[in-house]
Amino acid sequence: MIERDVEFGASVTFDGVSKTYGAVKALSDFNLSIQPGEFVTLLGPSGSGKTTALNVLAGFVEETKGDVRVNKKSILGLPPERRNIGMVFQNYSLFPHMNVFENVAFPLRLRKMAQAEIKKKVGESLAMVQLAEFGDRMPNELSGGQRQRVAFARAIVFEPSVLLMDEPLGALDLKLREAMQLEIKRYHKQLGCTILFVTHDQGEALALSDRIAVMGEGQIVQIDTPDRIYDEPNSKYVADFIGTTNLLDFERLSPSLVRFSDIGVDFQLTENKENWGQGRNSISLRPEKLHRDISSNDQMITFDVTIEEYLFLGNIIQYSVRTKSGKTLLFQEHRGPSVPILNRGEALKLAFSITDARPLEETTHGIGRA
Amino acid sequence: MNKKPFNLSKFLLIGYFIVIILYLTFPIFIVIPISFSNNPFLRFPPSNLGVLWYETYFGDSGWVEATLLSLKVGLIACVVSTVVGTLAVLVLERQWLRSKTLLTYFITSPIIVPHIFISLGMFIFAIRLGIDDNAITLAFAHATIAFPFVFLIVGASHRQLDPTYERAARVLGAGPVRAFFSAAFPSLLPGIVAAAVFSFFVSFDELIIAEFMMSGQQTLPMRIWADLKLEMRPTIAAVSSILIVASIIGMGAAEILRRRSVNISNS
Ligand SMILES: Nc1ncnc2c1ncn2[C@@H]1O[C@H](COP(=O)(O)OP(=O)(O)OP(=O)(O)O)[C@@H](O)[C@H]1O
Ligand SMILES: [Mg+2]
Repeated sequence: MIERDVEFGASVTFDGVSKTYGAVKALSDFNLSIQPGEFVTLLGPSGSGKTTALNVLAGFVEETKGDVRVNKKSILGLPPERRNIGMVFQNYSLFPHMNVFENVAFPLRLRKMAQAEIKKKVGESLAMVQLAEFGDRMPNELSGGQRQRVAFARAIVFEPSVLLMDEPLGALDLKLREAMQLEIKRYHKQLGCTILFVTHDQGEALALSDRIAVMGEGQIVQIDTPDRIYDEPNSKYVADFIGTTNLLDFERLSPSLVRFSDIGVDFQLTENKENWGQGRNSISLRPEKLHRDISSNDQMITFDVTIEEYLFLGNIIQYSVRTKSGKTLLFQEHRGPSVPILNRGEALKLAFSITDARPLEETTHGIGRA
Repeated sequence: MNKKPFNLSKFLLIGYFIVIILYLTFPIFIVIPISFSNNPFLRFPPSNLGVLWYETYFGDSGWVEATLLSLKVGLIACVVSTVVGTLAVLVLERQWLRSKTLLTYFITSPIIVPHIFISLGMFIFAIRLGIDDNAITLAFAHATIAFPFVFLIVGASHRQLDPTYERAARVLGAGPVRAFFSAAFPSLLPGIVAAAVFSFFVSFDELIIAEFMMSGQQTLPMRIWADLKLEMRPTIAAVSSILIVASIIGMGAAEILRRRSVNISNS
C-alpha cells in the first residue's frame, strides 16, 4: 500500500479568474480557496464553467484575467507538464496502443525513473485499485470500471499534490458509480492529496465532498459543506439545484410580520428577523420538513392542503399536495405502521417549523428554472 | 425453412450493384486475359496463351528504365506530399485560424483544377528556372496533386482523434511534441500510411504533367502512351496487368490500415 503523510496535498487558490471565449464568459471572477488535502467538488449545470476551471488549473486553457496559485505560488504561464497535477478524464483517456502497465508507467518514464522503481511504483498503484494482475491487458480488454481504475492509478502514480477529476464516473452505470464513489473516498483518505472534483450529479457531490462549490454562469454561487449546502442554501438557485425543494413566496408586511400568500398564512417573526430582509422574497422548504402531526408550538405554521398524487420511493412516500391558493407542494414521509398512506383527494393540515424555512436570495443564475 | 416473399426492390438493387461493379471493373477483365496471349497484336479474346509479353517487358531496358523512373518519382512525391499534407492537417485542425475555410479550399483545389492547366503552369515555371526534364521537379509537381488527397485522408483520421489523449499525456509530464508522438501519432499512423500509398499511386500513373515536364526521359505511363500511339503491342497489356495487381495490393493494404485506425480510436 502507498503510505503518504497528510502534508502531501497542496493548497489551491483561484484568485479572480476570468476566461472569455469571444462574447461567452466561461469563468467570470471565479474565486476558490482549497485547503491542503481537501476534497472540493464543483457542481453545476452544463456550461457553468466547471471544466474550464479545471482546464485553467491544469494549464490547458489560459485565463483571460486573474491568478491561480498552488501552495501559494503562482502557476501562471507554466505548461501542463510542469504543474505536477494529476487528472482523470471522463473518457479515461488510456493510450489505446499501450498495455495497462505501460499506461501507468508513462508518467514515471517521462520522469526518467529507474526501471526497478517504475516496476515497484506501478505495482503499488495497480494494487491500490485492485488491478495488480491486469498489467498485460490492453485498454480495450477492460470493462468501464476497470478502465476508470487504471486511469486513476495512472493519475496518482507520480504523486501529484493535486488531483483533478472531470466527471470521472459519468460514463458508468448507477451500480458501478456508487461502488466507485466509495473507492474514491477511500483513495482520498489513503493518499491525502487535494482533490478538485467535477460533477453535475448532486448526489455524488453530497456523498464525496468536504465542501461543495455550486456554480452558475462561471461563478461560485455558494460554497459550503454538504450538509450546510443542503440545509441552508442561500439562494433560490442553490436550493433548487441541490435536492428537491418547495419554493414559497413571501411578502414582508412589517419588520416582524410576513405573509405567505401561497398557503394563506401571516406569521409573526420572533427570531432572526434580519434573515428575512434584503430583497429576499421566497423561502425554501424541503419536502421532508413538512409533516402532518400538528404539535402546537408558536414556531409552527399550519395550512390546509388536499392530496393530488403520490409517488412511492421505497421507504419514503412523496406526495404532491395542492394548497387553497392552487400551489402544488411536495411533502415526504417515511413509511411506518403508524403512518397510513394518504389517498388522492384527501384533505388534511400540514405544518412546518419556521426554523426549517430558508429565506432565499434571488439570483440571476437560475435561467429557465422555476 | 421459412420462405421469404419475393422482394422486387431488393432484386433490382442487387442487379444494379452487379451491373455497376462490372462496368467499373470490365477493363480489367479485358486487359488481363489479353496480356497472356502470345499474339503480336492486341486482340480479344486472346488465343495462343503464354507469357511472351511479360518476357518482352522485363527484357526491354526501355521499359525497365521507365518503370524505375516512375518508382523513383512516385516515392519522392509520396514522401513530400505525405509530410507536407500531414503538417497542413496539424496546423489547420489545431490552430484557430480566421481563414481556415479559405485555406482548406485552397489546399484541396488541385483536385478540381484540370491537370492540363496545372501541367502548363508547372511547365512554364520549370522552364523559367531551368529545371525541366528533371525527375525531382516532376516528383514535386506530382506531390502538389497528391497533397490534397493526403490532406483529406489524414484530416479524416485526425478528426477521429480525441484531444483528451494528448491532454492526458501533457498533465502526465510530456511536452507538446512528446505528447503528440505518444498520444496522437500512433492513432494517426494508419491514416498517414494509407495516404502515403495513395499518393504514391497518384504519381505513379500520372501522364499529363509528366508529358509536359519530361523530354529526355520517359516515365512508365509516358512509355505506355508512346507505345500505344505507335504500335499497340500486347506489352502494354502485360504492363497494365502488373500495375493493376500492384495497385490492388497496395490500396487494399492501405484500406485495411485505415480501417484498423478507425477501430482502435473508437474502442
Ligand atoms: N473552446 C471553447 N470555445 C468557445 N466556448 C467555449 C470553449 N470551451 C468552453 N466554452 C464555453 O464556456 C462555457 C463553460 O464551458 P465548460 O466546458 O466549462 O462547462 P461545464 O460546466 O464543464 O459544462 P458540462 O457540464 O457540460 O461539461 C460554455 O458556455 C461553453 O460553451
Ligand atoms: Mg465539463
